[in-house]
Amino acid sequence: MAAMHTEDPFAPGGSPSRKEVERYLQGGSSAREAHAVEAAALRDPLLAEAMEGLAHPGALEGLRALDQHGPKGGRTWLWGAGIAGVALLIGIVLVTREEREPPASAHVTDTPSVMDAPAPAPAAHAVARGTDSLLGVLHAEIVHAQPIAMADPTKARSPERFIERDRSTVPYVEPRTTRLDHTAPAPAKPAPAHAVVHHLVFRHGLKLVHPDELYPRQQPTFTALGVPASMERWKAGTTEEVRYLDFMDEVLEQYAAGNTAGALDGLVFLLQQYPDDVNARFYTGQCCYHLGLTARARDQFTQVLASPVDAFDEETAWYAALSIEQVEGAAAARELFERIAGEGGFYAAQARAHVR
Amino acid sequence: MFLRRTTNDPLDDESLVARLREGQRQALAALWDRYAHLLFGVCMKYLKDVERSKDLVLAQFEELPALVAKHEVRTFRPWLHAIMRNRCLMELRRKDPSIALDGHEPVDASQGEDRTLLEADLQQLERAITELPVGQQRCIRAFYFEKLSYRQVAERTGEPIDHVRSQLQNGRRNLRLILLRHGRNAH
Repeated sequence: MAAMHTEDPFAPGGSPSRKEVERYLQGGSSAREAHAVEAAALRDPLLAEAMEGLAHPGALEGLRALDQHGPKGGRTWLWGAGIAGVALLIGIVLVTREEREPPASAHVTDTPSVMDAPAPAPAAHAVARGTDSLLGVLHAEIVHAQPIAMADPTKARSPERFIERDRSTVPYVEPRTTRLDHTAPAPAKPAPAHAVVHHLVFRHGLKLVHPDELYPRQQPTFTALGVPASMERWKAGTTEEVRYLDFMDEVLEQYAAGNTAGALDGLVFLLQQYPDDVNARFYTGQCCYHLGLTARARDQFTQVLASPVDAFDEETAWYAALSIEQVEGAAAARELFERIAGEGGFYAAQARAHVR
Repeated sequence: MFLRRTTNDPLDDESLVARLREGQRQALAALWDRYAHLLFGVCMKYLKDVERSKDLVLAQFEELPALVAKHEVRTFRPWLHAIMRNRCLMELRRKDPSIALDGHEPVDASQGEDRTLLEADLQQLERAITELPVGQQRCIRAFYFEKLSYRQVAERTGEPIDHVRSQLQNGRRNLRLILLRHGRNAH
């Protein structure tokens, strides 16, 4: 018989902290620490299930991203208040030009769950030319959105076709007729008479179709009235005309810095005047996607795919598929993932993972 | 993008829930610090999708004030675990309606085991352990008495870690049954 022990072997210890759990999952615990975490998991079903899930590839990274959404401890609940504060400003500035408060002093609001917001019916083929009714509601939704803090997208681990380091794959490929709604016909896209090579530029590592191609007669300019592409210019009360590329440069600077709401501000402003601007539509879709407004993102990507300019088609199809998967479920997105995988393009390998 | 300060709230869960019912939002921040990572892990176990898991956790915390106001919660931790798990199952059920929901809060078997094992004195425990299958005995003694980790137990026994974990889980359950049987026989 084994020697009697005086210390109760089943005496419960405390629950391991999050750091201890992470250290354990990363293999950094000492044997003693590992035992303590394991013993806690044996007696705590919640901890046991959580550890099983956190051991999944990508989970710990996802957890760090989740941290960005949490309330700020010690203060009143600021659920999305950082982004809500900036987003409220979008509405205020558009209407009145009142001076903005910086996000840190945003008001506390109890915001309804963005998950409860009804997803719009797929606007697959109803491309709204002129004023987009989406834009009116989009501002309200931004208030409730919980942004997914973006790392510098040019340093994204997953390859992206619209980021400069992947420029080797940027040159034109045959346009794809990509169906988003398996119950409806594909959006009509004018067939090119010849292979189109797009005039592309990159700002902050992010792809743009050159305005010369989009606006061959005259490039748009913007007066920074009320919606500052440049906070400094706005504060200075400058009403100088801002050229398209400079405007987009500032928008993409904010996007690249992870300031999704700030970027969306400028993009919405542009789209209100130029609703067919494929650059703005694509990055509006990206912003919506990263704000968790996946139904809106889906609709934006749908409009990009309906655009006669197909420069973003490949990446748009990919993000449209991701959006559809999140909004409508894997079954709805499967056909699109299969098509992307089958075409062997930039996102083929990633798409295959979604159809396994 | 947003800096968080971690709360160091020494209150227990039930006290925090009471404060949350009173509308004290700081309590929600404290509960987030304690549970967000655990709930995220639970979601990842079922959904295996980071973005969906994040969405579910965020939604759960948004609804928490209303839920605790509406429901009597005796023991917060298992209650929260149950509703999160059901939420995951509902999410999975959207794609596969054949997946059954947990209709009731799960019987927390481990708490029953813990109580029984704690209440037994060491003599009773030793006697009960000798009645376990050899493999379970070996793992129980190495893990609980020598405080070895799974890996160390696996190295000693030559068994895979998953097998060690399973031996320990089964061993605990069998110990409880043996102790309960001894307790009945003693009366």
